[in-house]
Amino acid sequence: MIEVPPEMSQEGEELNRVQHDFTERINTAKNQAQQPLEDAFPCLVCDKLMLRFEQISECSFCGKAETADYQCPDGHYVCEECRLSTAEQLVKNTCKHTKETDPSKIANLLMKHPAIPMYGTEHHYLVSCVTLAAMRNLGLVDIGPREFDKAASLAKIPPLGSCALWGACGAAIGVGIAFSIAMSVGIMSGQNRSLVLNLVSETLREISKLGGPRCCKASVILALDVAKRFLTETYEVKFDETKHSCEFADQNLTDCPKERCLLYHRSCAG
Amino acid sequence: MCGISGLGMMCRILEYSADDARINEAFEEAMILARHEEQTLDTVRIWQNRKTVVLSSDGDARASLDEDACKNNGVVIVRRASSGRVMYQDQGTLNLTYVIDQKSFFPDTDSLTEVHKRLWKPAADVISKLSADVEVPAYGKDLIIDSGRVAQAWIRFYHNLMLFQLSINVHANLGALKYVLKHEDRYTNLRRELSNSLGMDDIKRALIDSTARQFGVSFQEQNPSPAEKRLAGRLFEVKYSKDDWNFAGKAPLSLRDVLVEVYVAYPPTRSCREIIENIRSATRDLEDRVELRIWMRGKGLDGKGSPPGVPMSSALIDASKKSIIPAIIINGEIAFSRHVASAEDLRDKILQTLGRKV
Repeated sequence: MIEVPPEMSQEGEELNRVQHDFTERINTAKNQAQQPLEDAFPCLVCDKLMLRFEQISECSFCGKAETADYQCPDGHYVCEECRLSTAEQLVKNTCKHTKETDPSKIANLLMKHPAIPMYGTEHHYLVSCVTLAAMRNLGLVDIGPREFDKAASLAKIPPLGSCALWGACGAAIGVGIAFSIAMSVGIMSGQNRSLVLNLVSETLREISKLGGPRCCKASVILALDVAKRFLTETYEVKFDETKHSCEFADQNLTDCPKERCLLYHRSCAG
Repeated sequence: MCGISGLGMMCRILEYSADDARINEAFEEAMILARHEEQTLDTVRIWQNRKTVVLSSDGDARASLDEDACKNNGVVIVRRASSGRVMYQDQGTLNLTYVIDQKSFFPDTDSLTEVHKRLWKPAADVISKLSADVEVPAYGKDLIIDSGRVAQAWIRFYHNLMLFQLSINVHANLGALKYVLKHEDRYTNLRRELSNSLGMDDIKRALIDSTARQFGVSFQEQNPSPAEKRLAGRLFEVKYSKDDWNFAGKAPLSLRDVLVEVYVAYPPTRSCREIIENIRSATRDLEDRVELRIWMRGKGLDGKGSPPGVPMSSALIDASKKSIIPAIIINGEIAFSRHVASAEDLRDKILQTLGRKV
């Protein structure tokens, strides 16, 4: 049974017709799976087949409601603006909109978008912005678009490869930037300055356990684990403690160490 | 040559050598392109070059060879499409090329190291039987006898296909190596190492037998197909006859006169779909001269991944890095960006580019 998301819900016959039409299209597409499907694409979010579907839908990234063109059976839709946007626009728009309180979930969603490449400085500001968004949604900080702009502009400074060139991964620095903004830390600050320094060094220690070659996805995952651990210890925030395996290993055709990575198989609680 | 019975699969055997080494290399690339176009049989080609220095796809011509010495001694310089080491070849060098669908030829393994080992084995067995006890070289290594380099192999991929090129120095002129290559690098040949006056035809025969046995295939002797001839001719014209390729390593973007790369969102937005429609309409009657590639951001060619051997132009890479989307790139230059160009504007631009090519 295909679930129709609430924003698509219509009453009575219309709903049935929409559901029926969608199911038919999915089934037809599955039956023709060996033939080229010019009009069907795997969903960016869940990988199920997206088909042409012209109803009002909400963007899974920025939340904008508009008439959809492609949508998957789980109701995932990516708006035209998000599909065309730069990585920075995408990250900021998603973080401004999201209601998600787990930064890892926001990061995982963003990293599935094709605007975010396998490697790159995009991951640095992604960490800052998703951490701030989650803290805002947890009621820990009161921030607006300006803070996301500031986080992104600061986190863009570490260059590609800063992990190796500086000994400081941009994702770890991204954690420091997020907490620095959230706690209004400046060079004259006392305890909070120590706190952000400690967070960055703790994140770097975690990332250093990965060894090589560099992996921006793994760095983001570990950086956010540290940020969440701090939020739990300091603010008693409860996160889902399941440690999911990396979802990006199959897409990384060149450098992923697979079994040798500590994130490749970690489907265990806590 | 008659067919050799194997255990199952039918393969094509092609004994074809052109006098010009540049045509030989063009034919190598043509085989894999034609195989992709026509879904022909897996093929083994046996061939030889006249006096030639074969550069790798990424080799530095100036650093690798003495151009004047080549010229003075009638040694042709050509660049192959695969990477690896520079090599001197002549009629004493035997080349064996496999064009195979890796997954169907070796359904039991995805390991490139294993595939490499198996493709080397028939040649290693033949050489071993000639009393030199050799082992299949590790991936990326050459076949060495007494610290001398006797045989080398290179791999190139195109979509799902593999081109495996193996060169054996049977009785290549080792003296010539010294004056044409700047780094001679301990090359040797079988005749010297085995003190055996081997006949080239004997080696060919032994290799074919060994290959048939190793892979359990039946060989069907065939001639070059019309598609291979056509593609080889075109490849020679636009690539292998050119110094741009042979010396500078600069390959043409396409075999056709104009390459149009369309960079769109994944899945394509309405504006992206409109652009695709417009470009298809603009090029409908120009298919022989215009190649159209539709790249979807983060999802490759036609949204189905990035096939090996199909390069992106530097302008397309730039558009990708800067999120210039949608974009139309014509012969490596961004012609339209971030708006829907009309079919008329697209056609005008393409005809203008074609005009420059005439």
